Amino acid sequence: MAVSKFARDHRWVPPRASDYLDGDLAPAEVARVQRHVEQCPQCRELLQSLEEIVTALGTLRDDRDARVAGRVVASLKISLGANPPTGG
Amino acid sequence: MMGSSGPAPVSDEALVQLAREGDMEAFEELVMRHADRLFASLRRFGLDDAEAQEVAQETFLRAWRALGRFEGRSSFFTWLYRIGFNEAQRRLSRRPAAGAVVSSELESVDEQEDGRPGPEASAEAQELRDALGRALRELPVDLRAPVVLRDVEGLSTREAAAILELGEPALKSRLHRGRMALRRLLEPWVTAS
Repeated sequence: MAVSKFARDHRWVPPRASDYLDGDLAPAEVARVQRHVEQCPQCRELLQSLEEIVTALGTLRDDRDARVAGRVVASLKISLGANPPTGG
Repeated sequence: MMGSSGPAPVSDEALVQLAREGDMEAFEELVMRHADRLFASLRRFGLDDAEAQEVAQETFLRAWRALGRFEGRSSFFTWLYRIGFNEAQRRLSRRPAAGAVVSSELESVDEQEDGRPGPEASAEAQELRDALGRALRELPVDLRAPVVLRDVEGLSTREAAAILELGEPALKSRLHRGRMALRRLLEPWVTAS
């Protein structure tokens, strides 16, 4: 019985790993995930690694040194023929 | 962004309203607020610098022309991203597939660099970021877009789904598949020790 519950949960947890990390599971489902990963190193590692990836992806947001807004405004003015650049 | 004193910044909604009435300066302010971020997202999505700038310009041009049809049911920012990402997806899908491989065939990124998990945490974090950038470009476009919008840009599921014109369940499913594909690609960096 215990083995079959473990096997069921082992199939149930991975497709829901992202929902778990994103806080999109119901409380009972969260508890089911947590109970399972306590006993399952493989699913625990899955959650840990996905969490690590999601955290690292968030750090890519800081790679924003590009400044293109001024150029976009300039090209917009040219395209629209409104307020042409001075001297143009 | 702004100092703590002075008048409160005008909202996007108010600027959109002014722009709809033909106020180009209001629209320029919207460009100044959103263009850099849109450009960065488009690059992260897989466009090169020149393409990303072109698409950003095209996006604002289209937005200006379509302002009359913008009903404000989503935020201006969401609407803008929808225009930009649609165009980016169109371009990327036409491209001779560089990273367009099915998830199961993804090649681990460490093979490009003889992966060597560094001992120092900060160096390792930088390696992971670099590897992530490469791995993102390996993802099929339909999985990459949800990952970029949700995990890199930090948008909500609802916003990302609205931009990609998907239902939330479909967005979540693609996001999970994208993350799982990244996990396979990044195995040398993320496997718990």
